[in-house]
Amino acid sequence: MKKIEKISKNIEKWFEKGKPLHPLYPLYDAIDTFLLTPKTTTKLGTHIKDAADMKRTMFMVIIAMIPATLFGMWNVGYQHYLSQGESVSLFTNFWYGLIKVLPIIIVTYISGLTVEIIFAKIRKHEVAEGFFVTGLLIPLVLPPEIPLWIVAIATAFSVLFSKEVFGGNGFNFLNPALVARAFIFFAYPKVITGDFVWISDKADVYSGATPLADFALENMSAIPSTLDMMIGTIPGSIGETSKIAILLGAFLLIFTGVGSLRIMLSVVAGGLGMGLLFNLIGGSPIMDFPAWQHLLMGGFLFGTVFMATDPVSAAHTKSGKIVYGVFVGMIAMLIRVVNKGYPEGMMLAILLGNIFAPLIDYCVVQIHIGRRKKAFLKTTNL
Amino acid sequence: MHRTIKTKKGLDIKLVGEAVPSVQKYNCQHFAITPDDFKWLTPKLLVQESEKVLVGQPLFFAKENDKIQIGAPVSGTVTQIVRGEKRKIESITIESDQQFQTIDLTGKIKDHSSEEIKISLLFSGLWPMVRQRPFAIIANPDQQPKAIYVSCTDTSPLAPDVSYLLEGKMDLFLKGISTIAKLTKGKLFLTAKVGSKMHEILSQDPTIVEKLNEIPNCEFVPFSGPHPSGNVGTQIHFLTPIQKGEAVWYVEPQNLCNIGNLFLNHKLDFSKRVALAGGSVTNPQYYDLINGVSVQELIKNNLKQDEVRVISGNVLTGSNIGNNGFVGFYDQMISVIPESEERELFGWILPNFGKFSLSRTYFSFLMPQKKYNIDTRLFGGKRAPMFTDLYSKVFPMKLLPDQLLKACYIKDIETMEALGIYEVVEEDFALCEFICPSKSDCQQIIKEALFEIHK
Repeated sequence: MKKIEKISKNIEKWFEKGKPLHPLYPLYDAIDTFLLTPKTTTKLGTHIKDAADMKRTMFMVIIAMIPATLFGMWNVGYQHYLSQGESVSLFTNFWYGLIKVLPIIIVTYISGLTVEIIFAKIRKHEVAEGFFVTGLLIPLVLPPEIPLWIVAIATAFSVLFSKEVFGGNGFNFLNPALVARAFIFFAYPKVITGDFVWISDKADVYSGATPLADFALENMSAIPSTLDMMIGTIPGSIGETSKIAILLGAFLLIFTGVGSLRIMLSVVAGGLGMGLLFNLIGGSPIMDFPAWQHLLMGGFLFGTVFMATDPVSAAHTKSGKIVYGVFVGMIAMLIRVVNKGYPEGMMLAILLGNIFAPLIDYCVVQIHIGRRKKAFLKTTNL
Repeated sequence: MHRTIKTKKGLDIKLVGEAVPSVQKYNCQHFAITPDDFKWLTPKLLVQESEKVLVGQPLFFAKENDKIQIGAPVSGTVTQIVRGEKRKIESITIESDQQFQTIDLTGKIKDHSSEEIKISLLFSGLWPMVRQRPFAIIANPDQQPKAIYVSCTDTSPLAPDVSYLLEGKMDLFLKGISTIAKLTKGKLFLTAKVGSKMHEILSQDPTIVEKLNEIPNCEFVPFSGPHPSGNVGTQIHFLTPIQKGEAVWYVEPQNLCNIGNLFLNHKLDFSKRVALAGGSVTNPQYYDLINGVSVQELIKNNLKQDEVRVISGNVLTGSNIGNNGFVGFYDQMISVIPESEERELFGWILPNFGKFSLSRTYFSFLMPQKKYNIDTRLFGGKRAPMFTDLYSKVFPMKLLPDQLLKACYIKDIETMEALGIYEVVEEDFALCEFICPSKSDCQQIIKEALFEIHK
């Protein structure tokens, strides 16, 4: 350990002011603090600090996403060989998926971190950890057949325009991973919609429709069994298919307190409530589709656990979080059921929720202020 | 039946090195008064270097209100007036002559009316012991306080046992209470944590209960819950919340003994009992000493390592005084914790069983009774503050801490006032600062915002 510290100190000299590598100092600093905890001590205020920092908090989210990522890789291979009519070993499936997915992850990180480091340099601060989460979230919400250049452009666009122009990490009001997906969705719709993108290198005769697409076409008999949707052996975005893997992640997020249980439950409640309302109205196979089954389709659960809970872009107040969650769940269902043009409502619902979150918080704060005023009036009248 | 303040939110940080109940006398020739102990006070000097002073003789007065004078804690010679940047007075050092000659008090100490008490306290230099909320500054003698608070249990980390601080001085304490109670037309709230020794004494000791009952406007209010339940700010919030233009005064229990001694025996003294505690102290225990004494000899040969941080006050809100510093005017403890710059390989991901965290990203939640030896490391890098409702876990007041901090951050005075800025001072946000994963300086943000309003 002392050795690494020494080596790091020696290398730091190359990045000092005036040295040719100085422009890359944020990169050095990011790697240095990745290896070793920083040696900074408290200066103002409290003399001791809680051991949890942003790095650890953010890394908990990454750990929570690992089951979904690993399963996603396997499923990419499984779906490919299934469409070809072949049955291969678990490892072969995984290996195929790894080869497909890893480049997407790498391209996302390189593209996004380049923008992050440039801005860390301009703003003279450290590279924040937020992007490590975003960088894994983006591949997980994309189809396996996505061209890498589009991934690079979308990531750079989202980091630049959803985060850095607003002041960087902690100041963005939209979820950067969803902005990247929305960018692809609207700029290159062909690579993220239709029946051809969800299964990698699909055989032409095989139907590659996702459950959501079948649902939108009222092709209810083609929707896979509940068990398949739970386990995740269905076509879809890389990380969204296995509900079990996502729930494992949700458990870790809730247990460590990193993810907000309040938001997750509210989104589910909102979605279920809206679904039940549609069931009540009924009249068509889409309206009659059981509300609980909606939770297993598409990116609803993935969005609930990993996207809607993003602490920066969600509502910040306690009661605001509930309103925000219910709002997101309801809008997601509304888009799914009423607007057949966009079968995946979750992405747009969360982005819309992000936009409304500050307003929701504003209302909560105003109500709080109003209550305080009333309470004071009471005490002065006594 | 007493009404009780019950809070649930907060955090008791368990540290190693709690002071054991044994006491030693500590004397040293070197004393100093640090004007920074008195928040936002601009000192106007009344003494010069090498001038002889008596106990209680004013060293300087407040530019803001010339009635407020800070007196010498001992008699002796002013050795140095230490100045810093822009000739700011950092400290006034005094060499004690060990005679403890006081200024002439004959005929000056009267306690028949609130005005007489104020004049006596101002004259003797004990007035600064009375502080006010909002702002946590020396009370303005020209104002009428809505209530007065005396919190008899300190809930901060490694806090001294107040009953031990007051041992043998209960008569002075009671005299102090009866005197101070006359300063308000409202109530004097005496509070103690349920289960503490002070709670037992104040609620069960028959002679003390009887004497307290004789004071017409004194009310005993027990409280329960983790730190910061012992902060007067929390108690004021639940009993008599402060609005704009109002003031609530508060006094440390030990300072009431000094005040009681003045009015009961006409004796002026600045003595107090202080706990020396913390993970770096070999023999953590109590010391009887006089305010402003140098800690140099106190910690000498009593430390486990060389690299330490000596803090006057508790580890959350105290000030770093260095190895040659002096005991702060309001502080009841000296905390000494290890100063460390140790770097750990992959520290942000390894399980690290020895680290304390409120979050469950570490395993400390499995060992709620374990005591930790936390050093001065920041354990992470500073990040943009994220207002994610995390602070409310340790913030017992019914306010919106994130939104209040945000308003303070951008100095939006109107919103700050609406959200209750007058009810808080920086120490109420100490725990928020402690748990913040972005390592934000919450206390500094609040302090600067309060200063903006105070101007």
